[in-house]
Amino acid sequence: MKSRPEMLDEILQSGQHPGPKIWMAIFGVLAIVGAGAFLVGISGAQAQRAWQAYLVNFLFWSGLAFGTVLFSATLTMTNARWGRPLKRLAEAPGAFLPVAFLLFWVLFFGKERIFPWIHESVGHKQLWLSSGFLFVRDGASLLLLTIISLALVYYSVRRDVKFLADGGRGGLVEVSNNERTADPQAVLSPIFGIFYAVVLSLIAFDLVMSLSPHWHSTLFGAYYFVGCFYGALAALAVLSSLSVKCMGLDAFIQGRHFRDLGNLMLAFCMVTGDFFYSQFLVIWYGDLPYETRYVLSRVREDPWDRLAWAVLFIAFAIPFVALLRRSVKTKPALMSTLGITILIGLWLERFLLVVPSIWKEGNIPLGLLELLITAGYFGIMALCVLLFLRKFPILPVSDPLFRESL
Amino acid sequence: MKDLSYRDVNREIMNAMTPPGKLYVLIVAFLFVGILVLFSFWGYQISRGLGVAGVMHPVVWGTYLVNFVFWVGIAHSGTLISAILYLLRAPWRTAIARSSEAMTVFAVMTAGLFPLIHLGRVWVVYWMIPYPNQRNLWPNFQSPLVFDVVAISTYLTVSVLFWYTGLIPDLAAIRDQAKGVRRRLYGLFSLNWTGTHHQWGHYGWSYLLFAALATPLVISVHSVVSWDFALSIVPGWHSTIFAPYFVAGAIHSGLAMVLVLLIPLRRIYRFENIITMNTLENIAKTIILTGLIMGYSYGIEYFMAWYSGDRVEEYTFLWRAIGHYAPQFWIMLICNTVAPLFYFFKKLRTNLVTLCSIAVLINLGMWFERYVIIVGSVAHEYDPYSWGIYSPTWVDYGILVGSFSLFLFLFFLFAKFLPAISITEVKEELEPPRRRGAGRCKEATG
Repeated sequence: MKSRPEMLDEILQSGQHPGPKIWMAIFGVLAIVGAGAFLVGISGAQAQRAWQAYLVNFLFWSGLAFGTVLFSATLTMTNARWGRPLKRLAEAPGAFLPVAFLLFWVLFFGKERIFPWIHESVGHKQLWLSSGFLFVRDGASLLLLTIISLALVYYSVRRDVKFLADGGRGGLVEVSNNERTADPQAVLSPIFGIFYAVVLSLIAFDLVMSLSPHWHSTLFGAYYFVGCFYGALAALAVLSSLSVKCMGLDAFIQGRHFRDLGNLMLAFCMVTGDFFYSQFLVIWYGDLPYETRYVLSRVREDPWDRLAWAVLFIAFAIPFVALLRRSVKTKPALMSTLGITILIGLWLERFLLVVPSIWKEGNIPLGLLELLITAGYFGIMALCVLLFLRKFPILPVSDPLFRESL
Repeated sequence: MKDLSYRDVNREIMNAMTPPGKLYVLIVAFLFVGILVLFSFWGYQISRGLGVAGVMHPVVWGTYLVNFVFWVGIAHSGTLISAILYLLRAPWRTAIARSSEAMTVFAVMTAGLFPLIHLGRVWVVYWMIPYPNQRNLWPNFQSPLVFDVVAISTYLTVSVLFWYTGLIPDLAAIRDQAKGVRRRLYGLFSLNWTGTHHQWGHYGWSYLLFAALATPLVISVHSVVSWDFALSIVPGWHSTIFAPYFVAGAIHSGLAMVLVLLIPLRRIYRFENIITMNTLENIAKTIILTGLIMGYSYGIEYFMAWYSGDRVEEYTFLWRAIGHYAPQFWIMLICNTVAPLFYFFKKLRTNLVTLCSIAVLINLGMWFERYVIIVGSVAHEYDPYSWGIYSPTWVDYGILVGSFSLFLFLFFLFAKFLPAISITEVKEELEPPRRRGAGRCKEATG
């Protein structure tokens, strides 16, 4: 068995693991190709498709980034030990958030294509659903949540950087409960949790629900932010597997971590599914035309019904069955495959929530253009994550609970 | 808790089971009178008809339904603590799991009385049960009330089994120290437990299995209760957020009830070493979370009532805040969402008086929440011609008081006759005794 200082040295070394530069170039190219496809799309006959794909991707990737930061905040709030080695990996997608904030403003130029209520009367909601007010409130909310996220990540990283600057010789000092609560992360985490729920609900109401301006569902906001967290856990499974495979973190992220992460994924698979069902059952039973319209057009009418079934299987049914098995949860390769499956399912789910409201043709607009725009977003996200992990230690080396868990 | 030996754990927990003093007998007798009130008032209602209670068109679901939902809600914390926190491996649940599970069982039993009390002809209650019969009469399977019967009876069965499974090794420990009839009785219920590896293996697996089974059940039960309301199209009821909002509310009130019961229990039986302040603090922190969910839900309901553009919905929510039931609404709002925020202050959540007082306020608020939702919505539905105000009568109040008496009566009996804290699980949290401490090692087998 290794002694504690040896373990610590190992962490320090793995924290400086550079990773191949070629990936940076590949992700950069993907980002450029995506941006190019989007620009070509919006300036041609496919403008509607380009804008809706852009919105779907914005929702998907920003939700993912906020969700992973929530994972880190939750670890702090609950004093959980098991997930500490994953903390920095969870914070890495947070680097995408400032970019996401800028990408949000691009939507302003496509508002005519995205928001149907610009062209129709929405009665008493005229002021609420005016593009000026919508962009101001959503922009301000996103800015606020991004600042809190970055502050959270900053305080988490700062301690490690300081620790490493001291040569990591601080030793394993026992940290009392009082010191733990005095940590800025302990203060910021619950604040982030509250704003996460409120801001993402607002985003769900404004950027998804309002696309069918006469439809409403009280649970929709919560369904959206819970789904973001579910996706974040799936992304974390992928990131953890990659870090084990490519960055040699297998000494720190082991089968039991994957198993716990898998259990959490199973729980949130069920919670997200439950939130869907809670809406579906109430709407089905009430049978009020202004409520059922939104659901029927997606689950009963051609061509969307096929996509709805695909989402049900890819994002919920398959992961549910797979995650019941311990043999799946402890293997990084299987967990990353499952994580990618869930992410694809959730991307399609976001697509299903958004596009049928604004796409009036009889087909499902899923083709090369959507793929390229998605690849572009993926490129930006991957680039941000990689830059972050190259710059900062990959493990929370100074985190007292991480050190205890060693 | 870490400094305790196995002997201390046995002694501290079993001390509570010594023959009762006068005060205990007096309290139990007092609560028994409360139960007599419950059954005599119910008898009076059966003989005179439901008219003696306040229910009347348009409000035909009065405090009986309020009490039903309230007690089902209280029942949720037990499973949360014993099952969900068990799966999450939160160690602070250990000391409070047993009494919370007991609370769950007694609360479901109390809740189960109310659909019966609410029946005009209680003797035909078996009509709710689907079974092949000569008259070819079947309950309406699409009715949420039938979902309720299924959900609650399943929940009661699973929580009783879960509770009992956890009790078995402890019952054996008591058996080993008891004499005479007590020894035979505890022996009978400990199912011949001898503590072999084989038995421990089965025990561990079954406990985990029950925890995994009970977790979705706890979510489903209160979801089904919420759908009693949400599946209709009554304004103020027909809302998709109801299921998670009711589940969160149930846990909110349940955790508050855990504090209300455990703080005196801890004091009376000197459990301070086992139920530590850290445990109570963690309950308070969880209450902050559920309180925030309640606040979110109330806010979203109001926002959506306005956003929907449905005038009846809008007016229903306005009327809640300024109409006849406004005092109850404001009590609900302040007690459920503002009061728990005080737990953010460490000083307040580590002071037993404030900790307990806020928990009492939350229970009050959660009772009024059900009152506001259930009574308020049907009192002011679509048609102004059929609006009406409901006020509970002395029969309603008597039965309410009786239900609290019944619940507390059962809990008091439990705390005297069964170990209120799991001896097994507390020992699992401690360092195992070593050969060096020979005395401890000897105790470990006892």
